[in-house]
Amino acid sequence: MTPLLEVEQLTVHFRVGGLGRRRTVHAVDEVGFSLAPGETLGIVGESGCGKSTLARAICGLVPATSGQVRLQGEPLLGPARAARRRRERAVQLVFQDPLAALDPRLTVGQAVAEPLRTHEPGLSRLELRRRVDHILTLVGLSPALHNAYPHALSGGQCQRIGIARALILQPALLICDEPVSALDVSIQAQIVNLLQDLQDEFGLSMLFIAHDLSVVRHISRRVMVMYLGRAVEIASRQQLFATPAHPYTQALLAAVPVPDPARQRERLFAPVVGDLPSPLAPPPGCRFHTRCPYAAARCREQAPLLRPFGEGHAVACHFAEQIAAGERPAQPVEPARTAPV
Amino acid sequence: MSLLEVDRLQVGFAAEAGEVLAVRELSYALAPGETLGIVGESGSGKSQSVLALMGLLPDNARVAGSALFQGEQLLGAPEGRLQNLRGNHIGMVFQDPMTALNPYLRVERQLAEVLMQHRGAGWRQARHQAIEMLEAVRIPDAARRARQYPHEFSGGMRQRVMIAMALLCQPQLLICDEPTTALDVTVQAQILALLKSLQHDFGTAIIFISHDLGVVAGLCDRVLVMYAGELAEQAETDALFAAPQHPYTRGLLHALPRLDAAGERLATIPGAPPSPQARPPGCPFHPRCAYRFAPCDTQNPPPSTVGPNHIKRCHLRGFDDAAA
Repeated sequence: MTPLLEVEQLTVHFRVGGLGRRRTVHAVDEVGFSLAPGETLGIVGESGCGKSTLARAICGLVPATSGQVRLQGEPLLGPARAARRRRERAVQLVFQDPLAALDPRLTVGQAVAEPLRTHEPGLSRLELRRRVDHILTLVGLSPALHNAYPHALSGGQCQRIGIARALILQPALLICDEPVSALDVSIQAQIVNLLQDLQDEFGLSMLFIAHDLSVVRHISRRVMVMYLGRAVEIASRQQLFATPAHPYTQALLAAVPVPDPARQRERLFAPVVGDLPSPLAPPPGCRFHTRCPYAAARCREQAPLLRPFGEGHAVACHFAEQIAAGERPAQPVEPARTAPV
Repeated sequence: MSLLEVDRLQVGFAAEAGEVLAVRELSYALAPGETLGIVGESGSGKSQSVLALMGLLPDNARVAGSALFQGEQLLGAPEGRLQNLRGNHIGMVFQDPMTALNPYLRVERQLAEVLMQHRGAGWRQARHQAIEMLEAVRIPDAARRARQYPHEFSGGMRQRVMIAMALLCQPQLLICDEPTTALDVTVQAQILALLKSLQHDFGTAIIFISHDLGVVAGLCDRVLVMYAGELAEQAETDALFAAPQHPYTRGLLHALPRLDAAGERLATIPGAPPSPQARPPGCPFHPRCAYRFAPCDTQNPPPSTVGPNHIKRCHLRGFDDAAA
């Protein structure tokens, strides 16, 4: 089966600073993965890992420095009219802050109809209204909200509108960038379930970006973990959560609070020391080596490549096999001195 | 004796359409050295309830009820007295450390100022103690870092500075308002571990406000769940997670995406929390409650005791099944 989405060696660098102080932010470095039709890939990482920039580069919202993105075999990036048309129509985004993503002057109906007006200008008013009401019902909103303004709605309702807007063009690929992290717990579950239902019903293909591993676990079939612009591990959900191979993935999993008092008390320790280094000056070698409990001399010099580690599982760590076999004891690392940015 | 006794605390804000109540009849007590978690969604009144204790509410706020700290009334206390209590006896850590620190002052200066103000210490001695405290919160190379400005610190390090500042005068009570919400999860784990060990070393009582039940589960002795400005349920942590007695607490626990459970589909609570302006009559949770019955939409249930140290506000006698 041809993959729906192929991302190859995608790199995004930003130039920052003025004269004499020009520096480069390594936001995304040589990230590659593919997505099968109907599949959901979760992309996880902490702030500055490049997960949002990756999403924006895929749909052309920020220019890629190098690399390739293909949707259904056709190139998605570049200034070519066909590629632009494709990414504007076939790739849709759902954003983190649902209220900020909506125009406060547009009613719900206008906001949801807007993509249709742009891409299918020939539609009659009646047909437009029918399509809008249909999609509103689909995302669990009453068509009676047609004339309401975003400020009168709750965060959960606004996020449903964001999803309706994204789905009304029946995109081939839906990219959700932290769609639930701004929502309260009780609302978060509603949106996660809605996305799951839409997935089941329409075979939606999704990139689901989040910093919260437990949310990702609920919604993704495969998961990619990023650290400072690089993919450090890709695996099926089962593999990633049962047998995480990269020390960073292990640390992330150990750091997530669990709502079980007895277990969470045991988890009250810091799985890794230090803070994330700045993407302005990523550490040489393996970018995680400054915080890794298993780091050795080789890690400081040589960047590990993402390589196969069992069926459908890839990891970027020199010592993944030894760590998995328990041959590499974690070393007490000195607290990293975080250099001022 | 309790360190802190809050009795029928009420916080209202003057608005155009009349007064809006953010906190209603909130009562709880805190023993010395104890950790109380206050959990709730946005708008539940969890932050307002502690800002009221510290006298840090805006001018249009009106506070009623009583809050005794070591027997002394906090509500309506003169500003000078409150200033003395804040810092000296009650420390506070906020969600966003960057806005809580002064960007123009070196970290050592901001920390030392606390001791100079509250303890009358001289600069040299205050600075020395400040550096010691930075070491206690595990800031590497503390003496050098103390000379730096807040922007030179990362988010996690800034939050450590805030914790150091709050603990400088060895307060009896530390109030943490979502101190890890703005942090990455690996850094959050570091701060939680730090708080736990500091509490062990200093014996400080902590009120820990959070929207994250997981964070609260490991850190707190007791948990108070708030909904629409009211206490919904309060219990010892193990009891609350093992056998929650309020439908809202149960709903929250089931709605949580979990790393450790096999369930694929999340249970949901329908609807959204009410805004204080449009509060439903009766029990504020009844429009979203799967267990509601006759009295729920007209009468707000009073707090009732359902077990040792276990209080809930719900008409329901109890649940048939013991576990959540």
